[in-house]
Parts: sequence; structure tokens; C-alpha cells
Amino acid sequence: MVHLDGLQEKFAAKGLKVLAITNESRSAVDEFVTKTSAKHGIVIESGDSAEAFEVKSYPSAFLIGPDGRILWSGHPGRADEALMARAISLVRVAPELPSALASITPSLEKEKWAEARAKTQKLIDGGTLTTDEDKEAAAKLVTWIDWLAQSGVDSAKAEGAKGRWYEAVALLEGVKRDFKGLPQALEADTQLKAISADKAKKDDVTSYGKLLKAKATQREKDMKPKEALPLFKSIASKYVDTRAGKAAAEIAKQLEIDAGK
Amino acid sequence: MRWKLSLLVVGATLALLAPCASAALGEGDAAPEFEGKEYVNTPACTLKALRGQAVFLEIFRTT
Repeated sequence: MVHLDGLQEKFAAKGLKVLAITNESRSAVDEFVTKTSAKHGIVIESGDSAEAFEVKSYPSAFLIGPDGRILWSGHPGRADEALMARAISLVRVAPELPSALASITPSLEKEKWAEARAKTQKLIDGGTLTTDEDKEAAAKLVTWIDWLAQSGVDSAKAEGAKGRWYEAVALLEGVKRDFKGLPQALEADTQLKAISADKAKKDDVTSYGKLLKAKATQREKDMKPKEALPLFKSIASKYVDTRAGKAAAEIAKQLEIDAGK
Repeated sequence: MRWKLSLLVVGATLALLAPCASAALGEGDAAPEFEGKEYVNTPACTLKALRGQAVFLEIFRTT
């Protein structure tokens, strides 16, 4: 954790956000912070990132690029400065806005990207931006929003190429919603329809969603192995050839062993 | 006591030497979003809201 403070101190100003995440109690985290004097951000989550990231041991770290995709994963002690420099070279933060573009800020704060882009484009087209700095900032903002939208589409394509259609759909739905009216949102909609029309892809989306829901139910209700078993058995039998079906079968197998103990 | 310490050292060394052994999601995979409910030393945030920045995320246990 001292390592994380060091990373934050050295790289935060260059665009690296350092976070530690756990689903333990607030009191456990407070005690930990008092004991270690940790200064980096800590997220106490309601979900289970360890499961979502398929973590096998603690601590595990992930360096996530500006497009939301993982650049590196491993033991935090292995994360060196060269790795951070690589990540920072990819950083694409929104440009600082001059006062002439102050009207865009509320849309950006609400993550209404398409609205922000439309307002900016209107200012550019209307000729109300008089200085070169204002024009340059406006052009940079439009480019940044386009990049943000396109990176969502590209990430979805990468997930699809790995057969992770549930993840692809989540990304595409985000692009469709957040960038409504932009070409990337139309592309996302087209891809969503194509996925929905393909039975194997649709089955992956449905079954993986059910698997995540079953895991969440088991966790939230603190279910005993015998109680949780039907949740996973039904997914395993209904979606035999999917990755969720296979994972559910493995979980059910383990639950049967645990129930017999 | 000494053998316990040795095991710890060996274990820690192996963990450091094994790339990606501690995590199944790896390079190129989309990072799953988290649902934060409380935040310490940081304003509320999500991975989505941090797009554009690089994020070093450590999943840990206090015990």
C-alpha cells in the first residue's frame, strides 16, 4: 500500500488515478488506513470486483488504460515506472475549457457527451469563438468526445472478438445511450441488433447475465451451498455450450461437494 | 518460526515472479465497472467517469 502512495505521488498529476478497492466493512478499512497511513483513494464497494476481475489471490492489481481496457495485470509489487510511463503516454483527458466555453461544463459534468459536443459544434459554427485559444479548445473537446465514443465501440469489438458478447453489449449500450445522435451511437445500435439476431451471441449475453445475477444473489443472501445449487444448475443445464453454462457447471460441482461436507 | 518466515519469503517471491498468475482478466480485456458505496481519500468515482485517465486499481483485503 505504501507502493500505491508512491505511485500516486509521482504520477497523479500526469493523469494516473490510483485506487484500492475492497468490499470489506468501513470499520475494517478505517482501521487499515489508520494503521498504514494510506493516502491513496480507497473504494468500498457493494459488489465484488475480485470476482468480476477473476482475481485468484490478494492483492491483485490492474493497470487500466484511458479507453477502459486492461493494459497490465499482476501483483502490485511488479508494477514498475516503465509500465506507468506507458500508461501515461496514452492518457487523453478532456481539455481545460476557457471561459468562452463555460456553457459546456454542465453537460460534461453530467456526462452528457453528445449534448456537450453539439453545443461546442454550435459555438464553432456560429463564429462566436473569437480567439485562437478558444477555437483550439473547442476543436480539442470535439475530438476528445469523438475519441471517447469511438473507444467504446472499439472496446466492444475487442470483447466480441474474444467471444465475450455480454461485455460487448454492455459497452455498446453505453455508447448508444451516452452518445445518442453521434455516428458511433448508430454504429453501436447496428452492432447490438446484429448480436441480438445471432443465437449463439444472444445466448452468451443472456446466460452470462444470469450467471452474474446468480452470483450476486448467492453473495447478497449469503446462501448456503445447498440453497445456491439450483441457481447454478439451471444455468448449466439450459446453456450447456456457453461459457456461462460451463462456469455454472463448475460452480454447481463445487457447491455439491461443499453441501455434502 | 524461521521455517514459517522462509515460506513467506518464498511465497512472496513466487507471487512477484509469476506474471498475471494472480488475475485471470488481462491485457486487452475491458475492465469491469465497480459499484462504490463509500470512498476514503477520494471523491466518488467510477471507471466510466475516469475514462481518458489511466487507472491503477488494486483489489485488496485488509486482513
